[in-house]
Amino acid sequence: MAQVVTVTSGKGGVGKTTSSAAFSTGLAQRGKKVVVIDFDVGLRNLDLIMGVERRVVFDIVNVIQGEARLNQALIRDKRVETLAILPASQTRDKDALNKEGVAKIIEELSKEFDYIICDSPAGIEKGALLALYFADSAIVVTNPEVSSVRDSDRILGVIQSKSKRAEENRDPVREHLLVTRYDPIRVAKGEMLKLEDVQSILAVPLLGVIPESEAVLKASNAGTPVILDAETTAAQAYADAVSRFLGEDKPMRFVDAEKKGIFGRLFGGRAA
Amino acid sequence: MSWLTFFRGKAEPASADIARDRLTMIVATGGNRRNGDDFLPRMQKDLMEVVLRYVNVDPSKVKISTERGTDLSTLAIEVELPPVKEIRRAG
Repeated sequence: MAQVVTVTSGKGGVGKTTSSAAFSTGLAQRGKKVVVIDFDVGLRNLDLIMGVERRVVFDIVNVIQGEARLNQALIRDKRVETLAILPASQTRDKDALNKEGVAKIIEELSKEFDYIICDSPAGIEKGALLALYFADSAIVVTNPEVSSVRDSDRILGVIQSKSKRAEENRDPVREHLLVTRYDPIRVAKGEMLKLEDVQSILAVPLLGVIPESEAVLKASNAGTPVILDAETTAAQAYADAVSRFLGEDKPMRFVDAEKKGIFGRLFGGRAA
Repeated sequence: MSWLTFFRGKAEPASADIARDRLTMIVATGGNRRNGDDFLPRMQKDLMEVVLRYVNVDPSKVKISTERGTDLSTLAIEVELPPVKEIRRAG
């Protein structure tokens, strides 16, 4: 039985799609069969971040409405063999998705894949609710910033009350916190919330910390999940998060500001 | 921290600490999470039923408010009763 993992946040622009792309690719690199679904109907973006926008023919709405078979809509990744993408529709509105349709798709995908990653839209309306409804696990993406933390708290409440697991009184959805755009230098200056503070406020186990990195924008420019740019700190931090998700013990990296020598102080510069 | 702060004297509180305190107030102490959605409207409805069982008041005269602080949070229920002669015991 496949595990359904929803990547969500409440707030927009914190790195859900970047994280969905990186995390799915990372799991697939570890030999797992992974499909990542874009739930942002009307504002699809996962295809762009994954660099498959020119291969989209059918989408999730076509499948739900019986206009295409699931296999016709799935895009098989060319870089990582065991990875597939199910794009969202660009032209329909959110009402085109419904619980029964999504349930059918997830059931069918469960036959082939080990992990079904749901890339949630922002907000707490229909699209976001559907993205989290079938979740076994949730990865809550949070920036160290007040509005993002509050929205994460809100979405955690929604996961606990509105998911299928909650409705059926089964074991609760497993929650994971993924802090993104973390800048240890600003934290050291007292300008940014500390990791420990974010974690203690949200009280959810920490899956990973992705440092602020220029590599993320470069990767999205190119349509390459950032985890494939293996030299970068962001890629390594995502790879660590994948390992932790699979139960491995990995110390957190890139969370402390490096002590700069005299030259570093004089000439500044930022980590990639 | 630069050499300038040495001359400026006591530093202002770090903005990150202000952020943490504000968040702690709204999140850590709050019913924001546990109930999934805002429980106040439901509690207001339940309380109203109890109040109306004993006293005949205008529902618009019942006010419920909460205030959250780091050390102390309060829940205030304000019921404006009608003049004595109009109070009757129901049931």
